[in-house]
Parts: sequence; C-alpha cells; structure tokens
Amino acid sequence: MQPDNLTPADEELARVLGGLRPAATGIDRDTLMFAAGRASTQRRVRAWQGLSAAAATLLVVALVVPPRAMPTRVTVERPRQTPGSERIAARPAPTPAEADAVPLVDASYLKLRNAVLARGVDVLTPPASPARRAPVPSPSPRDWRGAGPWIGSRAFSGDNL
Amino acid sequence: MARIGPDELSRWFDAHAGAMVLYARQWLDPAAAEDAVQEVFLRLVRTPPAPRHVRAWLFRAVRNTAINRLRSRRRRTHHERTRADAGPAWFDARADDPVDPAAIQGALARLPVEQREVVVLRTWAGMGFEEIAGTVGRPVSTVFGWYRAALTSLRATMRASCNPTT
Repeated sequence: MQPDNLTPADEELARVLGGLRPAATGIDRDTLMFAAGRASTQRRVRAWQGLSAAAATLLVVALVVPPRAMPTRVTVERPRQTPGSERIAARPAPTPAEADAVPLVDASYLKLRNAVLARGVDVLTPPASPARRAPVPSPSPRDWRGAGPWIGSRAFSGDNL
Repeated sequence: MARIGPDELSRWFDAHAGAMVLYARQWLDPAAAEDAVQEVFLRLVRTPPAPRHVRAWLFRAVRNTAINRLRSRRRRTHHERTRADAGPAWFDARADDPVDPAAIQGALARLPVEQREVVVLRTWAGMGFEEIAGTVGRPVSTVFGWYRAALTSLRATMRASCNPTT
C-alpha cells in the first residue's frame, strides 16, 4: 500500500498535523556535547587501560616465574665407516716426493689445478712412460699430394712450398 | 563508515531531538523521555562504525530504550503505565497554528500506542512507511493501515470536539 491511497481528507489532516512543531526539549545541548566527547574518548582510554594491565601482568609473571633452561640440540659428527674405507686405510702413505708430484696425464683437472695453485707449475711431472704410447707419424709435405680433393690442388701442393 | 563526530551529532540533535522526545513520550513521562533521548545520542557517539541510516537508527534506539525503561519501571513499582499525555505540552503553541495543539495532543493521546507512534514517525520524524516499518518491526501494509486508522480516529475526535452537540 502506498500513501497515495489516503483520502483527500486524510491528506489534509496530515498536512495540518505537520504544521505543528514538537515542543523544545529540556535536554541541555552543551551538556550533551560534553558527555558525547567524553563518551567518544572513554573507549580509547579503556583500550589503553586494558593494554597496560596486560603488559603489567606479563611483567609480573616474567619476574615471578624463573626461566627454565631451554633444551639445546648438540650435533655430533662421527666419521662414517664405508665399505671401501679399510682398503684406503691399509694403503701405505705416499712418500713426500710422490705426494708432491702430480702426474701430468693421469691427474684430474681439479687435483691438478689445486696443486698448481698451491705449489706452482714445478709440481707438474711428465707422463710416467711416454715410450709406451705409439708414435704418431707426422705426414711429410709430399704425402699431402693426392690425399684429398682440396689438398691435392695446385695452390696448396708441396711443390709450391 | 567512521564514528559520528561532534558536528554531525550537533546536526542530528538539531534536526530530530524534538521529534525523538515526542516519540519517547509515547511511553514515558517527559523527564524519562529526555533521559532516554540523551542516552541514545551518547550511544550513537560510542557506536563504531556509525549506522548507515542514522535517522532510522535513532528512532529505533529511542523506541527500544523507552520500552525497556517502561518495563523495568513496571517491574520495580508495579504502577500503571505513565500516561503519555501527562506533563507539559507536546507541541509549541504558535499564533498561526491551524489547529489547537492541545486538542491534537488530547486526540493523539487517545489513540492506541502503535497508531500513535506511526503518526509521530510519519509526521514529525518525516519517515517513509518502509522506514517506519523497519523501526517498529512490522510489515509496511500493517504500518500504513495503522496510520490510516489513526487519521480517521483523529478526524472523528476533532470533529466531535469542534461540534460537541452533534
């Protein structure tokens, strides 16, 4: 239902009633504004009071209750016994000369690098048995002729050299 | 929405304090009605965040406060309800008033309280029927029915008071 369902007489009466003004209140405006200001800050003050009380309680508890020693974790490292370690232990220690010398061919790169950085290039030794290796024949310039399509060309033949 | 500040509170007070006291007087005597209204304004300041519809909130809070006070007073003293028409006048009398304010007050006081509060909210608080329905917790159709019945009763009462012989 809407207000336009009112009869004209009802509308006229509503208009007449609207012309009346409610009596002035006896509420003191200044008192109300003062009380309102106090009420708005009261909540903040209470929050601070609560916070302070909690902090004081924590402080008292911290002072009264002795602190317990906290359990500490200690890590102990033990050498692990691996299956190949006995053989390593049984091998005789190398002589200082052997220990210092790093074979040029067999050494790994890292080992070689560390040795060179620590003791200089003198530590490098030539390969133990160079004779064991098969000599690689170096081709003579005459052998280049006819070896391939480009090597046999005139510009790069041995005769021109 | 933030809380109500002093300027806003002042504005709401100027706009609605009179109507709020008039509304509270439907249940309470003048002093108790003013106390209730003052309490409601203080509660508005303390309410975080501020209500979205402040006017509806104010009148609903006045209604609840007034009814609670009336109930507690009844429990305490076992007295009859304070007559709504007791005490000082509800309206300021002015020379250019189209009707006698005292006659209107007398006619309003004879209405059932639910009709009376709808008339107060509609006429002096300037509420729409949906807002009134939200305030009193009844359907819009019910509220409008009460309003129409109240106007009919008021017109009959005023006609009778103007023509006592008829």
